[in-house]
Amino acid sequence: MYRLSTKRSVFIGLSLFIPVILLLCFVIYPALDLLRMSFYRWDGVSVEQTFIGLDNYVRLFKESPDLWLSLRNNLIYFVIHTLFIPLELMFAVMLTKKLRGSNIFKSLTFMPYIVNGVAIAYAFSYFYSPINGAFNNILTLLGLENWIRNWLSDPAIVNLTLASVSVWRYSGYHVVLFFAALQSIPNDILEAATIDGAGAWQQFWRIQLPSISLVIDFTLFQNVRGALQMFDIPFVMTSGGPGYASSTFTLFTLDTAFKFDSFGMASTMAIAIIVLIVLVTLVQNKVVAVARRKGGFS
Amino acid sequence: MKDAKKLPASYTRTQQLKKALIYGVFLVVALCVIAPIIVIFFASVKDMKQMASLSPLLPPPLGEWTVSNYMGVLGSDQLLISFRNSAILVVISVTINILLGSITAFCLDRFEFRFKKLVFTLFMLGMLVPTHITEIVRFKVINGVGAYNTLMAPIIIYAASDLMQLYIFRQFVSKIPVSLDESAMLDGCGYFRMFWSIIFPLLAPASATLAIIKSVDVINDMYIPYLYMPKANLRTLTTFLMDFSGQTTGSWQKLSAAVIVIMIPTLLLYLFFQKYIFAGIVSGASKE
Amino acid sequence: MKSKRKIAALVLCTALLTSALGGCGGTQQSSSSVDSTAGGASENTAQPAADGEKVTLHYLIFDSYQAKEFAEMDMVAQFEAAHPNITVEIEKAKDSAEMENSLKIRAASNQLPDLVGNKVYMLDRFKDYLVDLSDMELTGRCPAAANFAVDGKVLGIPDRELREFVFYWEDLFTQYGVSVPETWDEFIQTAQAIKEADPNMIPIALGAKDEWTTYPFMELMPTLVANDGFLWRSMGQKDTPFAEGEGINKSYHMYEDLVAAEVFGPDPMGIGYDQAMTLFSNKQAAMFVIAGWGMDTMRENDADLTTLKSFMLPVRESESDPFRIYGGCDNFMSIFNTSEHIEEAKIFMDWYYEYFFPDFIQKVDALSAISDVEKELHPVLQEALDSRPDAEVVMYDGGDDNFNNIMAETKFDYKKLGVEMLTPGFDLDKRLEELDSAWTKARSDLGIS
Repeated sequence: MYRLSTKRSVFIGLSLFIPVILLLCFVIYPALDLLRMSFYRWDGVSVEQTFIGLDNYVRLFKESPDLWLSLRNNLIYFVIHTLFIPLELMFAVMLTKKLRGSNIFKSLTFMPYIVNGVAIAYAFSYFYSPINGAFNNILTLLGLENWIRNWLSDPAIVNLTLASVSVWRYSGYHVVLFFAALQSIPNDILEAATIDGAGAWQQFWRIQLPSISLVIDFTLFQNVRGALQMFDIPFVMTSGGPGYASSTFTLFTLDTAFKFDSFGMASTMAIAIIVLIVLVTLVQNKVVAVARRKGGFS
Repeated sequence: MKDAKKLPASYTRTQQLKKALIYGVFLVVALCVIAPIIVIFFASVKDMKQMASLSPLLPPPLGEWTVSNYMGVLGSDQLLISFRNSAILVVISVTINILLGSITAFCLDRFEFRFKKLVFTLFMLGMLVPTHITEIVRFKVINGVGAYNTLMAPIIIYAASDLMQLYIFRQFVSKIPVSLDESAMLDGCGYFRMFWSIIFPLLAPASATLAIIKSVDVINDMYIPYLYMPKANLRTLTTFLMDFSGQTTGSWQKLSAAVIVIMIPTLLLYLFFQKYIFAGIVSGASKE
Repeated sequence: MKSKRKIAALVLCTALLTSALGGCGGTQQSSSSVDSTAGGASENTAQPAADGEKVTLHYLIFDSYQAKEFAEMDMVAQFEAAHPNITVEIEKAKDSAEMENSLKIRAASNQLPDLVGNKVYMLDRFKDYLVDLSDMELTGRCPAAANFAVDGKVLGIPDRELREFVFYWEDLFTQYGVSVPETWDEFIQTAQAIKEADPNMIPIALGAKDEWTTYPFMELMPTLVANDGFLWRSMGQKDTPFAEGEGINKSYHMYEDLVAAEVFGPDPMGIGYDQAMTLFSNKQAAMFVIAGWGMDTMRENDADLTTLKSFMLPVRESESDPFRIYGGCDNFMSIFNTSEHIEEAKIFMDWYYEYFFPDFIQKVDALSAISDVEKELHPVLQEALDSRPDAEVVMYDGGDDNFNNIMAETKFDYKKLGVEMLTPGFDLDKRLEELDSAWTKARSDLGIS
């Protein structure tokens, strides 16, 4: 037995060695270093790093209005995506109806998630272009000329435009998740409910929704992470402009680091976003739990 | 079917109406999905004059389609280089991820050992760290290893920081009966041999799923190659597209052709391996 | 047997990874294994002096036009024919901002190229890393070089001298009955007159989705109004450089007046430089403010240049004020002191300016920065220059360390500000006040006196 357990330890040790070292060197250590650097002033190039205590944190709250503007933009992505979740759910329920061709529609809905994000961003830059742009043409076709706006440059609208691209890209992903979870509900439960005279709406509310609550949790969690880390769509389509109107937290942090050489400050922002993700997730879990209790299902 | 006949006419009519409604929704959604891609495709077969004179919603008249935009993209040496780089990244990253992911999941699922809790917590922490932002620190480490401006940089990062494979593999590992490993051990197999010849083949569906999902992720990733491989001959498909957009002065039609070309590899993967992609997405989500 | 081979493959893979990871401690092993992996992907990985005496120089440039001409004129092959023991590998950055970012990262990891084509402001930023070229014979032939010396050292040799122009279509000017303006107010009025004559015509095309396109107004105009090519340096010396009466305050208000006239078309922030240039090339816009190289974009757009004309941007209040125009140098060739082949890099520089540059500069819409290489500008540009014999050239310099540090600390980004000013309801006076107080604080935080 002794020999066996030594062998076992060797196996475990050897197998886990590489993944754990990788994780430590390239994920955990950078994260810790991020925390350390948040207390320093460093330009990213020079050898000298000056310890400045909590200065960066103070400045984060007092002197970075554009950062908070960027964070508000993240919030816009979050809200829009959250509003779309019920619609995505309904669409997933429709897909489970096994109508002819519903598989094709499922494939189609998911496709945007697969294609290259940068390519999508360019495609939509063209779609929303102010000069001979497709979207404006569609509006004209529908007789809605006076809805035409400067989609990518009006600070009041640009974030909605970008969020629409994000919805286009990620909604299909949510739909497929919901669809898969819905399908895993045993058919006889639904049939029994039908025989009991439950309408589609009651079925959805009493059976389908509770059974897929785990996936909904996951989607909400992903939504928080995704919205707080939104980066590539504004990066490619507007570079955060005009001004900082469509900047996001990540975009602003990277600008702070690479454009303005303030790596210490950027680290502080990074720490702030990690804390924020954890906080929002905790709050959201609480809210979902309460809502579920009130809704009468567990 | 028999039952349906017995139902009153009004019921079938509402049923029919519902069906029509659902198809209506399907069609609207499908249109929303396809419209931007169709529009960009139309643009890619127009010449400069047609771009200005025709509505973006219309293709050029038959017989007046131009392929010169595509020739411009396909004729670029950079496209070939970037295709090769993307392919190398996909093959190596996928291999490493499958090997490391499967064996890690196996160890964490099967054995009790002293630092298991610690190792577990480390992986959980790894999930929490946001990706783009840590790069401002991570590039120091990557520099330190001498991986900056080589293909090794993304390979290392993809191997170290994406932990979805653990979830996918753990689900499959936990379904494999322990008796299988035990009987193999009784036959005198070592642990590595047992893992390699018994467990690993049983994980094939998970590996396939992971391979497809990972390939799509690697091909589509923009930020890591953009930050770590500025060298011209280290472009990937995605960074090639960004370069190309910088060079096509003012001509959407040329950029459109590039956009379409860059979309093709992942679309093909999707077309042929849809099943695996759905499976991977779903098992990545059901973590509990 | 089969499974044994598989295991061997697994072990090999693991070994490869482990050796790569050994580098966490910074061992030599790691970089060699990394190189071998990358070597499979790129034929030209840097392996100095691996095969005999052959030396590879890495030359990083940002100028797309330069890159194109290098390829078309086969510069590398020409050089290698003259110097068989040296080869040059061109690295192309996406644009100058991108190049600066990558240089910062590469400086930290000792991965700098041997040669680089710098923007003027990069000379100061990378001064610790650049070789002093003062003793090169070439430096003596470039009168402007000394102008841009940092701490008395010549850190780069520019190849071209730039001028800014306002391009316009003469037929459109005739059609709308407007003429070349002499003062800033007239410039605004000209644009307004065009708008009134034809509401569908864009008086001045601006592609402000690309923030850099506002540089004629945000970066260059202040130096002209202040009559100080070293304006950025001067600002580093002041606590409130944005206060009323300062050149930058005045020039930004002049730009504000232009913005208020709404002469940049329906959506300047929604289009990039390329699109704006396309509009101008198609005569959907009447004017375009850009350096001489803007003509190259027009040519690429297949624009018909027969009625193209240009004039110098009139940055003055009245006709009795002196007419100042911008002068700047670009594309400073520099050598990094981290290079292992500084001598070879100098050989390349000498060769470049002696044999390649004289042909190359003829194809560029800019003046030659080398005194013994003659360059006549394109008639469209030369005419505009000749018509202003009274012009005083203000040589622009990119700022120094102090300025850069304060700029980083205060996040003063003039090009972005130029875009922000286009958004409705923007309060310039408020912003300038904020900038002043941030400036004062940054100077004291950074200990600049």
